[in-house]
Amino acid sequence: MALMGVVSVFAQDGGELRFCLRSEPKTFNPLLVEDEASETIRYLTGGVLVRVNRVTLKAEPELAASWKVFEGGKRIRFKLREGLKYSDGTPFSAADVAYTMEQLMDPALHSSTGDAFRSAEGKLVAQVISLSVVEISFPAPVANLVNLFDTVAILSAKSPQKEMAVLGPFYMAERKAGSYLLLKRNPNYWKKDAAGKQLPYLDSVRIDIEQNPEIEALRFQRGEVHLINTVSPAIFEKLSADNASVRDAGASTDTEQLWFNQVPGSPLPAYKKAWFTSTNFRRAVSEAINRGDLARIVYRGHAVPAIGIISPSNKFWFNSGLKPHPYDTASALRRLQQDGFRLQGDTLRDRAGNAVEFSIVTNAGNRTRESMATMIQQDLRKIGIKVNVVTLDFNSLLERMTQSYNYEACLLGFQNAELDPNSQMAVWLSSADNHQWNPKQTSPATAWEGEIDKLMRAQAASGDEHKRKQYWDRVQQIAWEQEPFIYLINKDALVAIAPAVKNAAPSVFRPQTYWNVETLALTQAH
Amino acid sequence: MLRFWGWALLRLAAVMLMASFAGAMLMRVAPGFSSDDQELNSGLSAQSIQAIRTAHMADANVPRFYAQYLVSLVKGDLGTSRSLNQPVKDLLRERLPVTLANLAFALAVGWLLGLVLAVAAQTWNVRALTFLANGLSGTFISTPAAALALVFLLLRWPPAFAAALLVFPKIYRYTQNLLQQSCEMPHVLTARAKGAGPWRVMAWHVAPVALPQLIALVGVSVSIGIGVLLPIEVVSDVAGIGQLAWHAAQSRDLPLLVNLTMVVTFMTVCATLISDAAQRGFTRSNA
Repeated sequence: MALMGVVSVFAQDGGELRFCLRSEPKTFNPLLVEDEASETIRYLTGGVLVRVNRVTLKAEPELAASWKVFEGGKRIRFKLREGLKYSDGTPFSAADVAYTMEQLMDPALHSSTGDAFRSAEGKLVAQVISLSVVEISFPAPVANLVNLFDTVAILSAKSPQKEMAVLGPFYMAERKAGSYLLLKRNPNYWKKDAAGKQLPYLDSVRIDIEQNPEIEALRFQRGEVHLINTVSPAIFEKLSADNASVRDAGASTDTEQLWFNQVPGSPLPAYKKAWFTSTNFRRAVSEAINRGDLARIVYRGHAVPAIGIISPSNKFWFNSGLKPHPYDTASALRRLQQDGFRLQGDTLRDRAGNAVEFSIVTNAGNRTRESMATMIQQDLRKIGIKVNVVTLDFNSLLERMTQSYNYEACLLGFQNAELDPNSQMAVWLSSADNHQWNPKQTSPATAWEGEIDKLMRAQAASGDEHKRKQYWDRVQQIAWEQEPFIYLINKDALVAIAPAVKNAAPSVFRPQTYWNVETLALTQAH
Repeated sequence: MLRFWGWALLRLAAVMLMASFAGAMLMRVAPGFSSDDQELNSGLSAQSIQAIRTAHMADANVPRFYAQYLVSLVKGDLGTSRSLNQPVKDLLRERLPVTLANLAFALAVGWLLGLVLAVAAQTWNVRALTFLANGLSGTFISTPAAALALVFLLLRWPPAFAAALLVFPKIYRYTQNLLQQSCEMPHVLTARAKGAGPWRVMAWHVAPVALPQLIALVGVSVSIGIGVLLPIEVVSDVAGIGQLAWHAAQSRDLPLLVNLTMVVTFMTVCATLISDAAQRGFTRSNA
């Protein structure tokens, strides 16, 4: 609200904000959103009960004026704002919330938004208590329940326009496939600024589909687009040199990591499987990688060496007791010696005399990742390990990671849009599909994975945030010690915002530049 | 004539079927066909990931997929794009006109440039003009389509013009060779010896000889035009079928790719058939 108060001092009403998306949205149904482009449309058009402020990270009331959580997250009651209407004029009521939740939790829908609420087997009950009060009950407590509603855009149960009738600041007005999307100001949007003026200030948002980030940067320089949400370090430096308005919002929650294939049934030779399942081997590799150089050279200073699962920017959930892994080749060699490895000339050999050599696969076309792989190759050479870098197109890489398991080490990054540890269940449970180094285990392959399983389940079942933090801290500690993922860097959130855009307050969390789109404004010339 | 068109249609259908089936087979054996990037979405439950995989593998048996596709095709249903989650019919309806307009522009300008320069070089026989025309065609024939598209993007020039410049050298070189050969024919030499002017020789003696072969080149130039337009659309972010084909290949989108193969094959084979028919008609009327 304080932000809204200063808006009209500088801003002119109206105008069209322009930015680009890498691909077309796969769906306009907010319940089925999986890709980033669809998520953007949902964010700009969907009305949600609560919105997580991307700066304070606190849930703020939106369509719900207030809420109350019962039984540690098993039940939640929302008191809704009254007199609101969808973009097509259909009135909004508690029945719409109940309808949306029932649709969302339909098991046949296979929605990741819905899956986040699925804490146990059983059905959700959405009870309309009055026109403006609705209560939702889950079969078991849901961790981080309130914040999960940030991604649930409320559909209309009655509107003939179905999901195209929206409660957010904009509605979809026009679309040219593969070219652009035009969102126009929702005339029925409920929110007003401190001066009582209806939001949003912008008349429209034009989103161009632009696959090439370099062309996007060129268009930004020409003034054809106003915002870039994710700028690569190389483009950031180039735009900085040209005095363009780029900003480093600080370390993001995204991680870049390397991991070894530990799948017992993979088509790798037994001696390599033995290397990769050895904690000493993984930690030695970790210690031999100069993360500081990766951040300084590959990311041109716009990244910080990673410590573990959680980025320090996720202040609440980060385990501050953990320290960065040191860059120490002597210590790395000592660890390797403990496992019977020895340096013969400039080649590291295992107990059986096999020269230590492996391939790192990564996705082709990602220049920063390719550069990182090359630097890791040089670092590991110093301890006698020969690394081959293989780049594959993403689908081929995915097939190797998830089906054939025909790879030795993989370098990839994860986007951690959700801050809560519950969003990492599918990664850290040993039975999970995304437990990348050894997925879908019938029982935990190691004792430490078994301990992580217990801790993850315990944090998911607890309604006490401090207890959850303790469990999650321990998970971070185990991951730090065992290094199934060798976390490399946390890249900074680099954004570009044209001087014409007023009231921008970039965040490290998605959507970095337009999270406060309703209060963004443009100067008159634009 | 009826027999010609009967055979032509049969040939068209056979080539379309073979090309699209071959495209489907190649896509099926390409690495990464059975994977979907949604599998890495940590927000999805195991059941949802399994459902994605099952849906993905529905197209794994290519002969069965293709048979079902043909049955649907007869009913006017082109299927749904797996990666864009939209009916293929809608995607083609939105994007095909863009590509066709660019193709028409590229061919018109490419042909105009090629013909004008070839005829001028042959008629006036000025060394500087020939040098200029050869230099231009040499430059553009050796320029990769994507590189030229990038230059045009930086200069904010229309991408279709880049395609035209890449079509032009082929038209120019073929036409120039053809005109040169025609100019050396006895009746042309006789006309010149009798004092006919260069434009009269070109219009009355050279053009009638060269025209049937130039008509044949029209069909080929459509294939050339499509070939250069596809990468240009990708680089320049033109929302045509080139961009769509690139996307289909990258995301292993079988229904989309099969339909695009059908469309491109239809366009190229039709152009060839029409130019063949025109050539036959022209030759017959001359005879």
